[in-house]
Amino acid sequence: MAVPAISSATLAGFYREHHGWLLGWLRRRTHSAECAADLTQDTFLRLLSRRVDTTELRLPRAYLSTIAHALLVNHWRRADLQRAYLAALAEQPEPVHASAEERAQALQLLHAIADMLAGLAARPRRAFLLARLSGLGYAEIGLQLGVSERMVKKYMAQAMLHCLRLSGDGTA
Amino acid sequence: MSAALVAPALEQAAQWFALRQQGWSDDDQHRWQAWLRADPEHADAWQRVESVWQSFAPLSAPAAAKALDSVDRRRRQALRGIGGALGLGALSVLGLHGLQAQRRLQMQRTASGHTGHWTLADGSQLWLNADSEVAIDIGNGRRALHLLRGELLLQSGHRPAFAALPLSVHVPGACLQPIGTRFAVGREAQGSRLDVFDGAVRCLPLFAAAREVRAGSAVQIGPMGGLSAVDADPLRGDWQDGRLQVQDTRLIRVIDELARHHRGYLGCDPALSALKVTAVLPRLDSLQALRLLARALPLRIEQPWPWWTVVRPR
Repeated sequence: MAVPAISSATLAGFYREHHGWLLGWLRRRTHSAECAADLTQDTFLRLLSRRVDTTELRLPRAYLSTIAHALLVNHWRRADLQRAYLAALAEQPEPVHASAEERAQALQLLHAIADMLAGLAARPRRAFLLARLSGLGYAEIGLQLGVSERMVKKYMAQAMLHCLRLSGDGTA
Repeated sequence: MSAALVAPALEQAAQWFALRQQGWSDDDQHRWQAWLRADPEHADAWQRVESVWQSFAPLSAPAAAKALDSVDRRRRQALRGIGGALGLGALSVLGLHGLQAQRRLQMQRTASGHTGHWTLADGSQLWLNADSEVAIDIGNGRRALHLLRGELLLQSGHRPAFAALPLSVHVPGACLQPIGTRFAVGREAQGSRLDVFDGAVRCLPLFAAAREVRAGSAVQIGPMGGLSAVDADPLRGDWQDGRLQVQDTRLIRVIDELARHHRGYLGCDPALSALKVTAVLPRLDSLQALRLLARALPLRIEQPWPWWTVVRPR
């Protein structure tokens, strides 16, 4: 559907009218003023990038809160992953000494990997992670997943092809 | 799983990788080396395999395993918590959750490789494509279907008791009201798709103006209810009798359709994608359909493993 460009005056008005409300909505859910401000900006950016004609929205605040909710869920998901990684790191018998920068890069990488694997079905994804991160062989992975070794091999090829498609233009 | 155009080199590299991880013999390694040397594309593809595998290296493996696993588990629990309504957009999760809390909905689902057909209380004919699920809420002043997964085809019924009650089909982002019609709705990776074959369907998106979609046209429905017109696809309307009838259709399109009911991976060599096909094929038996195609067209079926099928030029 072709969407006509929206005048910047319309957008500015829309922003003024709903910005404070959305910020409050997000602050109640994040309990962090900084995080709420970031997500508010992201929500309006998302609205802009979708070229939504704000004058046609019947329920503008419902629309905004739906976008904001999706961003919030994503934010929590990332925070969960990050927290779980740092907690597991701290529990290791031999503490890992990493600079703040190295740690930040590792977290970026972890998010990228989680995103890369997100589109995979649960079992190929699990098989791939067990092989890569836990160093398990196909027999052990098969036992854990309750499938044959042949199935594990299928999962591994499927998971790798999935990553290969995402890691380049897909057609090489 | 859907078919896609994938360079053969990438498919083969993924297969070699799966073999290497299993533990390969000297003989396997020699064959792999020969494959690597045979084509510069092979070497490139293998390079990408290594870089994917190595991309995990900077992480602490045990910590990353724990983190990815715990997040997965939490997500699975959350999904179970909403009554197995997997794959629903957030909006419809809330809507359906409320509905299920109030009353028991009748659920119909089909396994992969099977379609289903039901006559509903209002006289409507409902077909479910393979691997699909729908919640039916008809009776007591209600007449609605919620498509949770896959694809449905509906021929709206006209029992007098329901004459005053409009039928509606719900997908994330929109509510569809058929007006004496036959139409198909399918859930896709991003949003849904409506194809109208007879009559018209009123499409009521969450946040935009209603639009009527007439016979012979189709719209894509975004998860937030954004509508975009697409070309109607006659292939989407004829699956209820288990046949796939195509006329002068690109092979890749046919393979894509067969892949929806195929167990394992089904790929198509890019060299074949533009080949045109006219045929009547068994829709749910992809291997039989491929054999029929191979008899009529210059192609062959390559199946190095039972779950890995690729159509190649002969």
